[in-house]
Amino acid sequence: MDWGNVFSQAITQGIGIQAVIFALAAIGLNVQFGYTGLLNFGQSGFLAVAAYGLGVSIAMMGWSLWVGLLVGIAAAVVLALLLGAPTLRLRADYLAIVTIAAAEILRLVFRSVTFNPVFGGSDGINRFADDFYALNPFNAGVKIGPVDFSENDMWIVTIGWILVVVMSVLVFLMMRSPWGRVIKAIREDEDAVRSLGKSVYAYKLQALTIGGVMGCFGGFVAAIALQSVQPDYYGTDLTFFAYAVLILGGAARVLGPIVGSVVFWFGLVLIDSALSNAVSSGAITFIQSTQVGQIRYWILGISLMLLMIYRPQGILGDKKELSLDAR
Amino acid sequence: MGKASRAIADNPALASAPGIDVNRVVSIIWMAGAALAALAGVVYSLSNGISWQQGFQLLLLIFAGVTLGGLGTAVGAIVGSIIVGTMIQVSTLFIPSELKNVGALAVLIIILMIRPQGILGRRRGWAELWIGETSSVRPSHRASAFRRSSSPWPRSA
Repeated sequence: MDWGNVFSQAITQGIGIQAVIFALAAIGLNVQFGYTGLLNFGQSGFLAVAAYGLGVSIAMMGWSLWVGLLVGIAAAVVLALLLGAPTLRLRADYLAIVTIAAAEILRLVFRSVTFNPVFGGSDGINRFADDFYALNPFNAGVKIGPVDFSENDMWIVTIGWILVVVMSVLVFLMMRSPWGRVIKAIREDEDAVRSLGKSVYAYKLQALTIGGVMGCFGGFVAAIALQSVQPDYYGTDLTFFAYAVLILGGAARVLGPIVGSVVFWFGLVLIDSALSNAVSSGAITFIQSTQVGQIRYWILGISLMLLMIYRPQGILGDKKELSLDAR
Repeated sequence: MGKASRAIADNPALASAPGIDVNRVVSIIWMAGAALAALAGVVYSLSNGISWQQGFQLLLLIFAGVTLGGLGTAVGAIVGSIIVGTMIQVSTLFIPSELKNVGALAVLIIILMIRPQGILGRRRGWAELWIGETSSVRPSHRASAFRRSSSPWPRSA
């Protein structure tokens, strides 16, 4: 059992690409769910339209990286408005159903053979990130202690964490402002806010859009880091992982998504490497190496259930400010 | 049991006042729902085989069927499911078969926008969906209780 290798892999992935993607997605969810109380189960749809917006603009239309980013952001805004405009007047559950259905529609459409010329079908779009990596200032990979990144990975991880920090600062400033106070009040008691003359619908729509745009940067990082946009990556699994990250770290806390994402991916990769290592070195004999992936998700699922039962506010959360009604 | 469950759906705190054991009723409802779903799974597998993903693939279509028919009525669930199921298969005449689920989900979204209580949903019970709406017929305490229990966040204090 090579524990050194296990831990170094876990730490590298804990601050690596996946952690960044989910931190960004969770920051967006934090604005929507943590601070406003909107049940957005379609966050993967926002990441998907952003990633496909970027990929299609560069690979199909031949535009530059910056135009692709703008197209992706615009697509996320349009999606938020389309989803929010009709449903934010209804009960919370209806937004949940509509968003989960919309995300699934997007995934099926992106995956379909009919739209293969534009979206690339189930293979997705590849080879569009060259512009980005041309700007890479790192000439060699980085190996500091247990952390080991190639030069391309180091570049996107650096940019990704810069984005995470910028978004977190934005969230902190927004939630301290009068706008943020109204948003938090909407979460607690909509009628009270309405009685003060604020348009709850408008605030909710703004929160949905801002959360969607923040989340869509996760889609950009995913597209560029993985150098391909594949429809099956943006399924409901991604949304539920983003929720897990958010709740683990503590919803309605600025650092919640970051802490949650790092801990989540560190734990997941730790379990994965430890189990694979144990199986391949013969320390555990009743599991085959092909089963490690599934067992990892079992453990993840059970941990999440225990988390929801015994500590629903997560690591950093405040019990008074968040208490999910587990029924 | 039925009256108790409807009381709990409306306002759990108020329902426990006359002595309804909320946890017990909720457990029984969960068990009954799970039993029905298990029966559905068995029947589905008889014709489609068993796959570890079959539940998830059906999940959104189940939502679509139930919401279309109207939440809160059993006949609504049947009607909605029949419509959704028929529509999915018939739609393959017009749209490519890989997109047949897209049609059902799109109809779900459109129905939720036009008529959120579904086809057979009770107009009276679900008028509270429109949060901004007020009505002189509905007693205001019931309206506000329903709206507050609809939020996943705790009521202050």
